[in-house]
Amino acid sequence: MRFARAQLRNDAWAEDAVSETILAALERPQSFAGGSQLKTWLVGILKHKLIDQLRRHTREIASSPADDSGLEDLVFVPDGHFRDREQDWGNPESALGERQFFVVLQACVENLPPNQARVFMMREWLELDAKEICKEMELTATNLWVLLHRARLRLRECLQAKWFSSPRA
Amino acid sequence: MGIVKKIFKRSCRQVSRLISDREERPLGWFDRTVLRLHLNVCDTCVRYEKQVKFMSRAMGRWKQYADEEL
Repeated sequence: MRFARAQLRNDAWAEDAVSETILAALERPQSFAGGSQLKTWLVGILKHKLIDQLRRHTREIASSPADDSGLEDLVFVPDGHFRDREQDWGNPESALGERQFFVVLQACVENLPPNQARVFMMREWLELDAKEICKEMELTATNLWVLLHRARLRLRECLQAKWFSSPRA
Repeated sequence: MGIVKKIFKRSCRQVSRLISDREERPLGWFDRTVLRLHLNVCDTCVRYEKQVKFMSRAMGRWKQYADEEL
């Protein structure tokens, strides 16, 4: 359920996807090949249902990247350098061992503009390839790259502010 | 003169886009050259490149945790 919610960023859609998954699983138990884990099988169905939900609702959100064009003026100074040049994350791998880091990461992803969050999750979590994402979101490849680029710039700013700059024990 | 100037005049703003794009598509020789030369002289973009790769790993780990909890 949390997986569905994180991906869709809409509780109602996520509930629909999860209940459709359960129905599909109950309707066709024979498609569960005994060799794979039950969970793996269910997550596989859920992914398809999530994509269905996205397809259904894609038109409800603006998928034009033009709506966040001011971002780069915030991140970069007019001569093109990063405004904040001293964002050294040291050894960030240690963060991966801390539960709290993922709470922050999730909050940062949820703070992205919806279309950036969605393509970023499709790319990095669902691991869809560019072709599939473009098709689902009705984007050109170039627009997809712009969205991913902006999502990464924003995530960097957010992680810097919310995690890497705060003193921790 | 023209092309050398063009390569060296690329700003972090433009190079950060190439860093992101390289995760998505093969870059052309021109972009590859721009990127390589820029990363040779710009610590901030070297850091940004590492941050982009780290964020991708972090997403993978997050997914792994979520899968375990499901």
